[in-house]
Amino acid sequence: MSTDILAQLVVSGLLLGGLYSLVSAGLTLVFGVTRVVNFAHGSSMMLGGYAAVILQKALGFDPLLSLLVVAPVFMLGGMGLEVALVRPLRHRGATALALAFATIGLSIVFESLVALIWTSEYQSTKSVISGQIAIGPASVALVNVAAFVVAILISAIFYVFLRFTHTGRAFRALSQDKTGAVVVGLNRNLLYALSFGIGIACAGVAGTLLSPFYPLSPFAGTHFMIVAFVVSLIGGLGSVPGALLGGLLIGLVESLSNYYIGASYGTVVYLLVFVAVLWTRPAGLFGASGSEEYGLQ
Amino acid sequence: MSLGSLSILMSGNVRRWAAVAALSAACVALVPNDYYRTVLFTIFLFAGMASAWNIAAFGGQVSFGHAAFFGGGAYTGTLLFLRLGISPWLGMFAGGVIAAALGYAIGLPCLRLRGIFLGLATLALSEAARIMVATWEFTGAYRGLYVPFKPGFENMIFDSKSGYLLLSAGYFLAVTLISALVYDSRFGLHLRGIRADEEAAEHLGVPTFRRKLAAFVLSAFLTGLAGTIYAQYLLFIDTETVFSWGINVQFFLYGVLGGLGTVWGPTVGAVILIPLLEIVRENVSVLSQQAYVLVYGAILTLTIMLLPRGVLSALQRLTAAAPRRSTPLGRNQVAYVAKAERAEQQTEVPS
Repeated sequence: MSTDILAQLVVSGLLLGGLYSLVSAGLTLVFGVTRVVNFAHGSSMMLGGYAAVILQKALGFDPLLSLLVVAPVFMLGGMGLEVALVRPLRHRGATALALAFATIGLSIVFESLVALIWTSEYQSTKSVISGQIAIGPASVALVNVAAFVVAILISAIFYVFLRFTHTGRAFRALSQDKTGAVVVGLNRNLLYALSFGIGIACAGVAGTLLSPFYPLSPFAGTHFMIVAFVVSLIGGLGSVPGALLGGLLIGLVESLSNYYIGASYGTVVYLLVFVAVLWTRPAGLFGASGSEEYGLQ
Repeated sequence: MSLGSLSILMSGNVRRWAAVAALSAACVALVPNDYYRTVLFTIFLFAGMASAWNIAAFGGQVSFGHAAFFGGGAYTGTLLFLRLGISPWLGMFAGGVIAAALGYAIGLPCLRLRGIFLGLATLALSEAARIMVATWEFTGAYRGLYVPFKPGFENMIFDSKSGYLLLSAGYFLAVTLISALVYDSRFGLHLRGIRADEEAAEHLGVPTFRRKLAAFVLSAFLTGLAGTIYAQYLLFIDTETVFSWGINVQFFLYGVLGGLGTVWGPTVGAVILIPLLEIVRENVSVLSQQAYVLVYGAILTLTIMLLPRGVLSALQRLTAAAPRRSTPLGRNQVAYVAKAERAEQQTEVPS
C-alpha cells in the first residue's frame, strides 16, 4: 500500500522534474555562455504555453504539433533578444546588474502583454493523447509521460550537441575562457545570439509541453523561474548536465515532501535543500570549483 | 568622542542629507492634495526601504530576498497589535528586531556566496518564508490579516493622509541619515573596500565576513521597520503585498537605476520610477487596466539601455566635478580608497 503511494510520488515527481530540467538547461546555458542572469526566462516559458493556446484556438494544433512551430519561433525570438537588447547594453559597458535590470523590465512587458489579451483567466490546451498509463504500481496521465519523454529527448539531444559538435565545444570554450575563445577565432557575437536562441527555445518548448496539464496564467512563469534558478545553482550554474539531474532531483523532492510534510511545503523543503547544497558546495553539485566566484560584480 | 567621529558629521553625505531633509520638509509642507500625499508617502517609504537595502550593497552584496525582512517586520508588528494589543510604535521596532534576526539567519549561510549566487540564494529563502507564512494558520494563511480602522496616534492609524506622510518622511530621513553616516564611517570604508576587491580588503586586515554580516543585519533591521508602517497604512497585509517577488524587484530596480552602492542612488531611483508609474497609469489606463504595466516595463528596459550605469553615474559624468573628500584620511587609507575606486570602475563587464 505505502510502496504504491511512494511509487506514484516518485513517478509524478520525476515527470515534473523532466520539465524542470528542460527549463533549467536553457537558463544555465545562457548564463554559462553570456553571464547574463535572465529574469525573463520564466515569462518566456509562460509565453511558450500561451503560444500553444493560440495555435490550438486558431489552427486546432495539438500541443505536441505546436512544438514544431514554437521551437524555431522562440529560437529566433531569443536571438533577436540578444541582438536588440543584450548586445547594445554590453557594448555600452553595462554591468551584469544592469543586464539583469533589463531582463526584469522585459519580463514585466511579457507578463502584462499576456494579461492584456487574456486577463488573468486560466488557460490550457487539450492534447489528443489522453487516458492513463500504468508504470509499475503507479498510474499517470499519458500526456504527462509524453511531455516528459519529449523533454528528456530534447535535453539529451542538447547534451550530445554540447559534448560532441563543433558549436557545442565553442559554447563550452566561451563559458570557460572568454578571451581565449576569442583569441582562437570563435565568433563571440554569433555564439552569444545562438545561446540566447537555444535557451529561450528550451523555455518556450517547456511551456508548450506544460500547457495540457498546468493551468496557465500570465504570472505562471515566476514559479518556474525560481525553480530554474534553484535547479541550475544546485547543478552548478553553467553546467547543463547538472541542470538535467538537478531538475529531476527537485521534482522528486517537491513531490515527496508535498505528500509527507504537507501541501505546498514541497517548495519550502527544496528551497532549504538548495541552501544546504550552497552551504556545503557553493559551486553546486556539478559546477567547476571556483565557479561561484563568477557572477555579478 | 574622538576627533574622527566628530569629523564624520561634517562629511559630504551628511551635508547632502541636511539639504535633502530641507527639501523633504518643503515637499511635505507644500503638497496640495491627498492624491499627491499618497504618491509622496509611497516615494518616501520605498526610497527609505531601498536605501536600507542598499546598505548591504555598499559591500557589494546584492540581495533579492529583502521582502523576507519587509514581510517579517509587517507580520510581527501586525500580529503583536492584533493578538496582544501592543502599540505598532513598539511593534515596529519588534518587527525590526525580528527582521534583523532573520537577516542574521539568512546572512550566515548566504554571505559565503558572491555576486548573483548570493542574490539567488536570498531569493530562494524569501520564497520559502513567503510560502510558510501563506500556509500557517497563525499568520492568517492565504487570507492575510486585516487591521481594524481605529484612528489614534497610539495605534499608528491616522484619519488624514498627512499623518502617514509625516511618518514615512521620518522613516526616510532616519534611514538615509544612518546610511550616510555608515557610508562615510570606517565601517563604510571597509564595506566599500570589500565591494571593490574582497581579497585585497581581507589582506589589509578587514574582517570581511563580519563586516558583510553586520551590514546585512543593519539593512534587514531598517527594512523591517517599514513593514509595520506599510501594514498600518494599508490596514491589510497578505503574502502578496509584503513578501512577493514584486517587492523584491522594487528594491533592486530603485537601487540599480539610481546607482548601486551610493548613498543617494536608491532615493534617486525611487523619485524617478514611482512618479513615472503614476504618470503612465494616469495616461495609459484609459485604454486598458493592464496596458500601463506594459508601458512601464518597456520604459524600464529602455531607460537602462540609455543609462546602463545608473542615473547618478551619468550625472557625475555630465558635471565632471573634481571629487572632494572632506573626511580626513590617513595616507594608507587614501591609497586604499584610491585603489578601491579604481577597481570599482574596472568591475564592469568588458564588452
